[in-house]
Amino acid sequence: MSRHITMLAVSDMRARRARYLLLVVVIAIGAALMVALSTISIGAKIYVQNQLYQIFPADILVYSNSIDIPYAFVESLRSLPYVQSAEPVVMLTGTLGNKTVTLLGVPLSDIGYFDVELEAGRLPHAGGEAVVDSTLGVSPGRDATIYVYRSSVAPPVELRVHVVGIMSNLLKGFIGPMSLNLVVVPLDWLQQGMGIGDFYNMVFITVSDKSLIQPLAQALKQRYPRAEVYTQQSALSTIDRVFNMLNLFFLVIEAVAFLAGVLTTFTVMSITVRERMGEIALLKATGISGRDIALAFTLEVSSVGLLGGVAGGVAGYFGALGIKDLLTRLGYFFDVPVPFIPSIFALGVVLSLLVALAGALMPVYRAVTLRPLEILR
Amino acid sequence: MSEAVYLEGVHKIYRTAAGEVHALRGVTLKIPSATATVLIGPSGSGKTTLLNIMSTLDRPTSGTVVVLGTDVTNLDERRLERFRLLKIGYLFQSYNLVPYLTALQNVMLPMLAAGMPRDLAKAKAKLLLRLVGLEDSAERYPIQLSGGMQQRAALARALANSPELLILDEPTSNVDLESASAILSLILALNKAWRTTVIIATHDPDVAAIADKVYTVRGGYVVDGEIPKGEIRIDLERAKEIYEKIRAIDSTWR
Repeated sequence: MSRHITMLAVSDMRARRARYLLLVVVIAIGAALMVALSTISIGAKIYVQNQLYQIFPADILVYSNSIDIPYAFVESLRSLPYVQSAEPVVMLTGTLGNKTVTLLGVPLSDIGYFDVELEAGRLPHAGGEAVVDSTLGVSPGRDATIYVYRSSVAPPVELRVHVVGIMSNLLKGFIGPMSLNLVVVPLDWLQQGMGIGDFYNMVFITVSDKSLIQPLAQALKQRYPRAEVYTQQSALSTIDRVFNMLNLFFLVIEAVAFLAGVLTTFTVMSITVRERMGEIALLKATGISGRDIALAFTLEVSSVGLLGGVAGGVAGYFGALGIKDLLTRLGYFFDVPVPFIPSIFALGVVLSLLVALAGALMPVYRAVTLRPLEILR
Repeated sequence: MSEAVYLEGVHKIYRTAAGEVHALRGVTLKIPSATATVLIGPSGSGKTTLLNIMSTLDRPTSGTVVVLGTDVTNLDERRLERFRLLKIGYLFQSYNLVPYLTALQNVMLPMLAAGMPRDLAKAKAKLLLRLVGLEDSAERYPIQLSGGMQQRAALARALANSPELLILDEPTSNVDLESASAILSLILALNKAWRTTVIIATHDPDVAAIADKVYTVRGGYVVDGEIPKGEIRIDLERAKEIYEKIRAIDSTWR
């Protein structure tokens, strides 16, 4: 770029530094909002996804409202070469005293799979023994009676259990945080007590070839249309949808901020061009081309846009860190990562530049098409 | 002697809300190179319109305009801009300097726009400021200069690209007598020592004293006028000395 263009742009910016600084701040607000909201959104999404990967107990989870999944189905799954494990359980709702409990029947042979986190006592070894959630307030060595309702008209089934352990969590937190007041008992004992034979209402499936998760899930849905088939992917898709909605909301906020930047740039540059009419006319009369005048203005607004973008990007990133820190100090759980994402930062800078250029377009066009005699006369 | 400016049958009509204004009515004029020509006449006589057409800032409604051997009548705007930048120096009645540039930067600006290297432009700008007696005010901004000093700085700016044609519109109307005298002597020195063609529009008869030829403009017509008697002291030796240095700079990059 020619030196006279740089000289005009730099000298004018120096002369109107307060005005341009204000413009930098306005543009920076848009960039800061964009970087901060995007960073928090992406960080929160990463956090939720990681949590899901950690706590989702299987690649596929089949759940039926009725206890109608036969053992033959589980066996046929286990016979597939790419199925690592298929763990059937029975999950029922009942009452213990005045509390609602979730009764979970798990096979004793595979109890390790369920990763029961014991606080006290031991795991069940025989029928009638139970490990109960610490929230139920029952001590090991005590007996308890659980009533399970199978329908609204039939009388409840009474199950007496001997508490041998207290647990705080199950399946790495998949069920534990839901506060279901869990009672874990041997599966065959529960099936016998309930008189449901060799039927289940939930199966946890793990496969060795992850590319087969979706086809298998599809096949299971077709085989059991009444059952719900969940995969990690479907949970991730739900998370994606939630975050997409959130991002859309953020996008509106960012668009409003950037629009304010465009309007402010338009106003500031219109005032500047109006003030510089005489000077522009003089430059054109001297023989400085309209292209050079346009370049000088473009250099000014580009510098403002870039400066605003960089300042906003830095402020947005550290602002996000600050908000996280503040929320944590205030006692809110906000343990999401706040990653520095170069592409978001670059996008903030590019958008700021575009905002500045868009706002300056009309005023600069006016300056370029100005006929010097109209002013000098 | 070749012609710096040649006008033939030039008409200029302005269309306004009140109707048409016939500013020039078939002007035919030949201004020889290296002469000092003064266009004199009252306000609204059409002399500034004539000056603007000769400087390529305005186009005639009809007629032919040839400036420094180039027919500029229908030249496109980009070529006209370049032509003005390299060939014509224009000094306006007022508003001649960019307010946020120093006197030195104002003088350098047209040279840089023409593509001259920065160090050469700076050296030449300093010489031009010395020529107009502003070597000590090079780093001052226009607001820090008096009206006369501003007009002298503007004259240096008009001379930046060593124009063959220097056009001045009421160059002394906004300055005090002393500054006016200094500016006129400078213009005359440039004309004599540098052989620059000078065209001045004025309503002040004293200015016409520097002219080789005077034209009177009245009602859109141009007629021969009389050169008033008067004496303007000029320092030709100083002007020549600076001219030699400027020519040396120009020869290194052109």
